[in-house]
Amino acid sequence: MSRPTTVTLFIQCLVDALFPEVGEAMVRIFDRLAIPLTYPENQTCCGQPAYTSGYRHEAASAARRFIDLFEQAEVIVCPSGSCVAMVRHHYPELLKNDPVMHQRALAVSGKTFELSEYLVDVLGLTDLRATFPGVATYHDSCHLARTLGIREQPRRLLHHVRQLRLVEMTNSDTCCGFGGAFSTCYPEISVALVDDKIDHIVQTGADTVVGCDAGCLMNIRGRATRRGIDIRVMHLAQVLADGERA
Amino acid sequence: MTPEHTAFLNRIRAAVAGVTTERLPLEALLAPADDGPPLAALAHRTRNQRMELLLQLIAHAAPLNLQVSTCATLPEAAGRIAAITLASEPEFFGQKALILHEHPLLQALALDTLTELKDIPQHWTSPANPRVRAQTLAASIGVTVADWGIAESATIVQLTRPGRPRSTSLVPSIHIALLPLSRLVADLAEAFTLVRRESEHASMVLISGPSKTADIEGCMVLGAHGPRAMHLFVLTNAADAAASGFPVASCSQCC
Amino acid sequence: MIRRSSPYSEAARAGMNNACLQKSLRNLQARYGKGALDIWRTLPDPSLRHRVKARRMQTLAHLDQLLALLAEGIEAQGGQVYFAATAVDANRYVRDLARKHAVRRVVKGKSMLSAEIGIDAVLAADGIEVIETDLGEFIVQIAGSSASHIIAPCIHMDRQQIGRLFADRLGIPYSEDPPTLTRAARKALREKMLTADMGLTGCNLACAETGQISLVSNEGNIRMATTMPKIHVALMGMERIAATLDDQRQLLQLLTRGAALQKLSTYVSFLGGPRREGDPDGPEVFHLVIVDNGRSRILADPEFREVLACIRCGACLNICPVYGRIGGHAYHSPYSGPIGAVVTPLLQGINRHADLCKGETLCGACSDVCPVDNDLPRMLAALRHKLAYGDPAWQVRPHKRLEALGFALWQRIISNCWIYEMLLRTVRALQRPFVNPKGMVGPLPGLKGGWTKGRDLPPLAAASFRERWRTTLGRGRGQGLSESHKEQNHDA
Repeated sequence: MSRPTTVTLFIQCLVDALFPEVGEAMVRIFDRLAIPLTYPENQTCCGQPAYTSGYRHEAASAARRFIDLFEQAEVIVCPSGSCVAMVRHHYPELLKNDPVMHQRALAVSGKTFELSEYLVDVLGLTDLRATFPGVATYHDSCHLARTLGIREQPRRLLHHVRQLRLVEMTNSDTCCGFGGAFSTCYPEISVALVDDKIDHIVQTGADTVVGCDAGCLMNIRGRATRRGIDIRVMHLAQVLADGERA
Repeated sequence: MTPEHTAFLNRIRAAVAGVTTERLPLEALLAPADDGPPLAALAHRTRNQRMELLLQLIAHAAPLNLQVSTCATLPEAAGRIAAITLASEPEFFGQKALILHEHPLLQALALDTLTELKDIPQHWTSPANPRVRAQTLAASIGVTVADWGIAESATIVQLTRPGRPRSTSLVPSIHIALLPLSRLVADLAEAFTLVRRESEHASMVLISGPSKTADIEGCMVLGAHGPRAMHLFVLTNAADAAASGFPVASCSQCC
Repeated sequence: MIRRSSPYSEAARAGMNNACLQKSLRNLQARYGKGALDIWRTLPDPSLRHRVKARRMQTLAHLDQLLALLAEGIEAQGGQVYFAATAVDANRYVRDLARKHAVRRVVKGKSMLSAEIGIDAVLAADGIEVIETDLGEFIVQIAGSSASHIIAPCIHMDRQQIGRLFADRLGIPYSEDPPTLTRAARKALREKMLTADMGLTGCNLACAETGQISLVSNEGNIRMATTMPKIHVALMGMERIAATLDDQRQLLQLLTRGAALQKLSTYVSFLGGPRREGDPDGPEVFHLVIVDNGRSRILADPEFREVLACIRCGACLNICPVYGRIGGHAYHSPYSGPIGAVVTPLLQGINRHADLCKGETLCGACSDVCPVDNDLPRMLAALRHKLAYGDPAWQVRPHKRLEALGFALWQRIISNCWIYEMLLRTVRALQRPFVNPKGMVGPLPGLKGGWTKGRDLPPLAAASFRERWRTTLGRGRGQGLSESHKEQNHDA
């Protein structure tokens, strides 16, 4: 019996600093699956904020650092669609003028996965024997759904969670208005978009909204608490973390 | 070509050269699509198949407010046109009047012999008629013959020809068009195959119903600047169409 | 990093506060944006858009040859072609033509290019009456406003406003019934269209093979403007050309579906010259004015050339969540929505329109819905790149020194884990007074004021993931990454 592939954790900066419980939930998931884990302790940020704002030198510097830290991994798994999109779609292009780095970027791109994608498409799992009571609706993050084409995998995982009923919201894949720096530089427009998202969530009658990107979740939760709307805002990892041993 | 024009095109050539290394010869770029399949489809289409296209046309016309009906004979078509004329109200002037394309099929209708229309002026858009514009402006109904009909989109193709001006299907409040069944094709690709071969680059218009707008709060209103109502009569009897000297499409085996 | 009020933000706010606009946009997007996506999803040939895009790019690569061929074709039919390098050239040509023919009244078909070059003011300065005939454009013209959507210009106005406008300007009794108002406009504009000396239109798609241009409309005003006046002038953006009739057909079918979910618009007109011998109507004189006005510069840049493939269908407006809230006026350009956000800076100045480059989330919905597969988010990212460091080729100055310094600092911080962790610990220590009873950070002034004005912020967690891994999560896991790496080296 071959030993399972070691998963190297790529923990988004927002998760590290603001939502460590999401990272912890990921660890619990892989522990329940008896999958060995490593975590390069010096990782900081994939560089996406700089890239989105146009600062490609700084983003390239972050990319080179990331490649140095992660390229020995067998496989890299991240709880954020936007970070994975950065590594897969933008690292090779950012480093295209340096043939050696470009090749290294391609190699790392080829083994970087988003969490739900890794569980469903690579490990072939949809039922993690998880339990999470509640009525939930799922928000499709833009990079995850459009850049990476990942829409079904989180839903398939959620469908198997015991005591959880999944309801679809209208416009589940309409942008929540985060957009990184956009949310701070154009706050009124950003809030208008997240208000639409929250209204659609509330219309479903769900008590929980689940997503796969901490940026979106931070945006939704921040507006919901300010509006006094009582809804649980959870990352997919947190919903899958607890249950029977798989 | 003026120096200005040359400079303009040279600027483009320079812009392209910076990015594109290889260009095709122009003939290769302009190579037309293969006409074989659509022409074969047209040539082998049976009358029954055309009747099925007619059903499609009718279905697609309904949401467009294009009134489609079938006439087996020319006298039947003439009677229908008379009925519409009598039932209509003139929009811009007190008087009803017809303006018709100079076309053998319309001449064969012999509308001027119908007693019910005896008080209603009828004019032809002959090249020899110096009052075409004035009569078109005064007309309440314009009557044309479609060069082709397209089932997929409930569209007629109207080529501009001597004696068949554009304004007849545009200026009067009501537009009536006749279409021999043999001229009904399946889709825009088939229609354009025929256009390329037969139109001689005449100006043309594709018409898919009466004019409309939804600019005010998204409310659909018929009759913006073109006709507010459009009727399409499909003539299903080829004998009449042939007798009127109207060439029956480019195929030999149609209805 | 917070902009004080800018024209973009102010107009965006006004748009968001316009209840009529919000309702119209909601209805428009619910129906047309999603409708277009459904049409593409159910195409018999799923690769159609991709192939059409490749063909558009090939066409652009031969643009000079195709434009020359088009001009030949039109001249052979008795028309005239003028190649206008700039807006000034185009305006001067049309004005001189109007003077030559003693034109007093011009009726227009909807043309964004005409707004781009500003032809109306030039003709009006000569005392020429210029009348928009598309109902929505007519309404915004007499209201002294501007279009807020490229297909449906007056969605920002409600029927009551239009009713009052018509009562005032057309002298009819007040009504807010759309059919009544439409009939009033029909009557008023009919007289203008039948007595105008010149029709001035745009051009949806020209065809090099046939030497004709095509124009789409539902109202019939374009047919009127190109048939009844003695002179027809068509303005054409130089990129709006198809090589063959088959290309033109495919693009038209994508255009009408993308714009309004129609297989074909009510009218599609094809013309390439003045009336022919024996034609009782049609213009006696036809001029096609082909305009560059900055397009050749876009053509020359491999990053942006594909934006010239756009066929101006408006589908991207109908799906964009940002446009769907702020409306078209925020773009301060005849081109609004996602396409406007890319093309306006490229044509009119990247620094000048920095907000258009940065004021969206890059969600990607526009590239999903584009009938010619344009990647607008990629081009917006490229525009942001130019604003970050400047770009002499496009005359771009670095946009915000403070922001650039911020990211230079950011790079230092994330390159050194020790500094990064120290920073987190410092903020964590300082944040306590700002955390409210809900456990969130409420409204803050200054840098983070932008976010916290409308939303709460989560505080930094008591222990970061990294710290938790070090203390508990990571313990007892055997070989870490660095250890297994050392082993490999040892074995080698």
